[in-house]
Amino acid sequence: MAIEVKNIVKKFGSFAALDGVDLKVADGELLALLGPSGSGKTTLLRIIAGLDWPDAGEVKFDGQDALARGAGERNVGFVFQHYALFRHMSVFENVAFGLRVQPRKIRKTEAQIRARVKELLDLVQLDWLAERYPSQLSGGQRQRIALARALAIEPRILLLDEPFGALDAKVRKELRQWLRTLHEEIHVTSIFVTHDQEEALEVANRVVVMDKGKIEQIGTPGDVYDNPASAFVHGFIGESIVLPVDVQGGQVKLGHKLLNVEAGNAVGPSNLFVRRHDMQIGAVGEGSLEGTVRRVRTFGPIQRADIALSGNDTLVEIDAPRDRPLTAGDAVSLQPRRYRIFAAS
Amino acid sequence: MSAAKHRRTLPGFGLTMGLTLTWLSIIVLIPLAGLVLKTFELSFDQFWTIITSRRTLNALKTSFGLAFLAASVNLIAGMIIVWALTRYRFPGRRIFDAIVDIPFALPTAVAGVALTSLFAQNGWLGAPLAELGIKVAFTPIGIFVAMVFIGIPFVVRTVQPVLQDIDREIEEVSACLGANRWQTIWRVLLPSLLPAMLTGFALAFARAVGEYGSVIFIAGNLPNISEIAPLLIVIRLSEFRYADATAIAVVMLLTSFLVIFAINRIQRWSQSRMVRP
Repeated sequence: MAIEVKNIVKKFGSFAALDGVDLKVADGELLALLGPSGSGKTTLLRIIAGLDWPDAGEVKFDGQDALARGAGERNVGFVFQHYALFRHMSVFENVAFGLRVQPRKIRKTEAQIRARVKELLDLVQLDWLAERYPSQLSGGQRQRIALARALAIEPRILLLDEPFGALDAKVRKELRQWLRTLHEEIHVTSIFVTHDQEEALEVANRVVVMDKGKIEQIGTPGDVYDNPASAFVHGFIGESIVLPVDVQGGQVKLGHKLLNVEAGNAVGPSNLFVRRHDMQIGAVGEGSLEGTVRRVRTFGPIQRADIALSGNDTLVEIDAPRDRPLTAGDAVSLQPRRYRIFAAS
Repeated sequence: MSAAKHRRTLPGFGLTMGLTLTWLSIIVLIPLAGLVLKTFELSFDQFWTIITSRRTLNALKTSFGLAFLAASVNLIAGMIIVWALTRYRFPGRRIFDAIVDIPFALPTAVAGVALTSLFAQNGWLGAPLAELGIKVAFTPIGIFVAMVFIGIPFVVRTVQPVLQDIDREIEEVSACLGANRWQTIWRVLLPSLLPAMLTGFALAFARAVGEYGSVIFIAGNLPNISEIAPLLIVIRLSEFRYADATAIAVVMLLTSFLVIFAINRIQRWSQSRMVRP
C-alpha cells in the first residue's frame, strides 16, 4: 500500500517535533527514516501508525484519508524497540492476539488461528518456542516474535521503531539481513526508524534523512552517501573531515592558504566537507594543504593517520591505503579528491 | 568435606536465617502459640459451645462478611483511583496521591469519631441519607463504611507501582493489533495487574477483619446485629473470661489464615502463568 504524508506539523508545547514534512512511500518499498534523536522520525512513524495525531497535515493510504481512522482500523503492524510483548502470554498467544481480538463476524476458527500462528512462527524460524514465555527468550528472539505478532493481522503497512536498537551488535547484524530477506519474501510496504546510518544504508531501498523535524534528503543509500544534499547530511552519514573555509570570487581559502578546489555555489564563510578516504595524501608540494603526521594506526587494508595542518592547529583524521606507509613526523601534503562545500549556517 | 562446600557468593545465610527464625518466634509464633495454648484450658465441648453460640457466630459473620464486602468495594474503587492517579496528569494529582495515605496515618479512633459525626442522623452525610431512609451510623452499614475507609490505601498502594511499570507501548501494541479498549483492559492489563490486585485485596481484607478503633465508634455495638468479633473479645476480657476470649481469637486467627492462604495460592497461580522458571 502506498503512503502519502502531506505537510505534517506536530508540536509538543513550543517544540516542533515535525515542521512541515512531505513524504511519499511507494507500495512494497522498504524505507528507512534516519536521523539523530529528537529529529522527529519516531513521531512521524507514530502519526502514520495512528498512535499520535498531527496538528496539521494529511496522511493518506492509497489516496484514502488515514487520519480519520484509529490505530486499530488502519491495519498497520507496529514493532517497538523494546518489543512490548505481553508478558503473561505464551509466545503462541502473543502471536495469536491480533487474530483473537477480531470482531466475531470475521474471526477465524481456533484451527485456522493455530495454523496461521504456526505459519508465522515458521516464518520467523521460532516455531520451537511456541509454548515459552517472553521472559525466557533472548532479545533477538523477542523482536522476531514481536514481528510475527505484527504480521499476524496481515498488515498492509509494517512500521518498525528502532527495531534493533536494544540488541547487541552481532544479533543486530543478523536481524538486519533477516529483515531484508523477509521483506523480499512478503513485500509489505515497510518503514523503519533508526539512528544507525549503517543500518539504514544496508537494509533500506530508500533512505529519508531527518533533522530537527524536517526532511533533509530522500534518496537511495548510494545517493545520500555520495551526493549529500546538505551539510547536515554530509556530516551525519559517513565520517567527514570538516574545514572552515572562506569563499571569495570563486576562490576557496583556508586561513590565508588558497585551496585548489572548486567553489561551486558557495559564497562567504563556508565549510569544506571531505570523506576521510577522499583525501589524497602525497609528498610536500603535490597538494594544496600541508601538514605533519602525528600518529598512525593500521587496521586491515587501510592506515588511519592524524595529520596536523600547518598554518592552523587543526587535526584531521584521514584513511589511506597501506601501499605508501606513513610514519609519525612525516611532512605530507593533502588534496581533496571528492568534496562538497556548503555555506556555513 | 571440602572447603568449597562451605563457600557461597552471598555469605551470612546462617546468621540471617537464625535471626529471622528467632525474631519471628518472639514476635509472632510464641504469642500465637500462647493464644492457642490458652484455649486448651477449655474442653472441646466448652470450646464448641463458645464458638457456636449465637452471639459469637453473629460477631464473626459481621466481621468477616463485612470485611469481605469492604475489601471488594475497595478493590474496585481502588483500581479506579490508581488508574486516574497513574494514567493522567491533572492539577492536584500529588495532593490526591497524598490523601490516599491518610487512613494509614490517622489514629483509628479519630477516624471513627469523624465518620460517626459525619454519618450520624444530624451529620453532613447522615442527615440527607436519613431522609432517604438510610441509617448508616450505629448499624452494620456504619461498620462497612469504616472498613472501606481504613482499607482503601492498601489496594491503591499495592497496585499503583505495578500499573506504573506497565509500558504505554503494551496498550499501543494492543490497539494496533485491532483490540478495542475493553479487550485491551481485559486481556492485556488486568492479567498483569491481577497478582497485585489480589495482594491489595488480601491486605485490605485482613486490616478490615482486625479493625477495632474506628469501627466501635460508628457500629453501635448491638449484640447479634452490629457487634464485631474483636469487640466481643474485648468484652469477654473485661469480664475476665479469658478462655472465651481466646477461643474466639483462635477462630479468627484460623479463618484469617485460611483466607489469606487461599488468596496467596491464587496469586501464586496467576503469577506462575506470567513468569515461568
